[in-house]
Amino acid sequence: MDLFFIGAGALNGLFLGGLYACMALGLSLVFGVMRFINVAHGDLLVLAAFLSFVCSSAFGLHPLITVLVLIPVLFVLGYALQRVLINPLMGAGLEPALLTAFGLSIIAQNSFVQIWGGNTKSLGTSMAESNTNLLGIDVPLLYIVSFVLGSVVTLGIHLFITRTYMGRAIRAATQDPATAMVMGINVNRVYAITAALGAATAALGGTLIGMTFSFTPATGFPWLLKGFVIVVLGGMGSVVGTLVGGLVLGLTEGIGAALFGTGYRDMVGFVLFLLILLVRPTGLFGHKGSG
Amino acid sequence: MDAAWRRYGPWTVLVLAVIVLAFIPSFVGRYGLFIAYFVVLNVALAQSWNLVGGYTGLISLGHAAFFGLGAYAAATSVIVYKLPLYASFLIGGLVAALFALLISFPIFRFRGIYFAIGTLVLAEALRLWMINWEFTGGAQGMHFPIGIGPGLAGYFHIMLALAAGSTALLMYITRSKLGIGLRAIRDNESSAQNLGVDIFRTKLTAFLISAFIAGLVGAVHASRLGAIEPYSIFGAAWTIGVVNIVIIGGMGTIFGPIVGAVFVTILAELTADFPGVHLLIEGAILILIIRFMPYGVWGFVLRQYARFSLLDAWRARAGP
Repeated sequence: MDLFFIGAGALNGLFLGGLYACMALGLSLVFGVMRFINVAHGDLLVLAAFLSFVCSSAFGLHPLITVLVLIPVLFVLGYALQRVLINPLMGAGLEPALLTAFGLSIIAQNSFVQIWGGNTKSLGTSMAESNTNLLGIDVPLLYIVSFVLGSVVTLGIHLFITRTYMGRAIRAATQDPATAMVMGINVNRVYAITAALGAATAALGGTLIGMTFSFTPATGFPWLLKGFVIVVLGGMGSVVGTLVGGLVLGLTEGIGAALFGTGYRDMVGFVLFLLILLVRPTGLFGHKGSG
Repeated sequence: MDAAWRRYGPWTVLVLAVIVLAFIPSFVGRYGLFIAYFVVLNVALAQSWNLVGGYTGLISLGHAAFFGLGAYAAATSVIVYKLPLYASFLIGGLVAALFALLISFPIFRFRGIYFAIGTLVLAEALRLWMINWEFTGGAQGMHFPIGIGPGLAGYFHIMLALAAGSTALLMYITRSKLGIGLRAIRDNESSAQNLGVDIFRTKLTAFLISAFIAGLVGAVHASRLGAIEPYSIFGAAWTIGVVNIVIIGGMGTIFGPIVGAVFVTILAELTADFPGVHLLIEGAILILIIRFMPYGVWGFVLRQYARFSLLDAWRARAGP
């Protein structure tokens, strides 16, 4: 096995990890704050990809420009869904909210088929073809762009949570919703804003997925699975952990694909995930008892 | 009378229902029989998930793995090892149970959400493995010899037996010491442990029985299909479908999964002319049921009944 070949796989995988982190960020945020597993997150990503496809083909915009339009749209959608459907179930344990999101996921996937058909689509740009040479290894420009954007958004969310007034309210509601409520924090609104932020990050994540890979109405599920792996690796809800989880998964997949062939690419990531969970049942950066 | 009914009533109903249902092939056409086949298949699968999900509180999202392994084990034993078809069904169940045994040691370390996500990822990893594994035909899958198997009516009878068998098994288990242990674990694992329930063994027993039934169902369904491939037979759709059925019907009840299976399968057929729409409706119904009937349709009925009988008891005590 050629060492250079493995190195190339690793570097490409690492850059792809930025996209992975951005894609999983909403899942991580929502889980971290509300302990709610949003199984419809993959469908939010696909929705963003479809909307970006519509905008870019209708107005001739670059897909990355359409993200600016998508962010408010998904923000409002996330806010409304959380307020109307999920918030009433928040006190009822793990499953009701999860299964409601699951019902939403079924509705979303079938709506996509009804509206846009079942064909494979992609957001073609010249970025996917042009390579940049790093350390003698060709990396698609697109990977570097999504790495930078993904990292910036992750750090932005991290700063928002740690440095702003709203962020402090979110952290308070995370630690103890009842006490936060007593302190005058509108916990329902905090939850809705968190879900809205998560959906807004899916606007960028979904567009990057559409630019880098192809997508169909059913693409949400494999991305949701990858998202789970990243969130668990990153320690369930830690924003910076999500970035690390994304990079670790990208790196592993890159090396795995170089070693065993691209057919085993996804499997390598999943096996790594199961092995890490075996050694540390609460994830790489998880605290004891955070499950 | 009341005590006797409580003890023997459900069994009598089950036996009578099976006898009546066994005559379905004589009364309905091929299309009707096809629907009936899917109803009983869904009942058997739903009961097997109900044992772990409903009674033990282990929300396993990897049920497709057991179903798919059963299907592939049966196909391999018939096609590669030339074993008789009926023996292959049993092998399918046993291989699925063996897999459950192998993964139980690591997977039971995960709690709550980690268990759900872990089983989901495990099933997906297995699917990806099967797509790449040449021994079982890779992505192409495997074909059974043409003309094998007893025909649709025969398959209906086999599935009916599996559905009735798994329902009877659950009825028996829920009244046994094992069933009490399972529910104790579901309601509070550490309290159950303190009271002397062997957590690992109790969970494992439920997990193995559940996997065995799912494998058996997968094996029978595979030979009825005639050709299997990993994308659909290991597809998460099997898990999703079965979890939906149990939730809609009522988790942790004997009759709930039956109600759910009938409801979901019939709904799918009624809206079959509008593909896609039926899943839209199913999704909306799922959301509504979780919001307004958190214990499922059958759980809702049971609770209403309990409320009224309590009211009756109170009225009787108050006297005229």
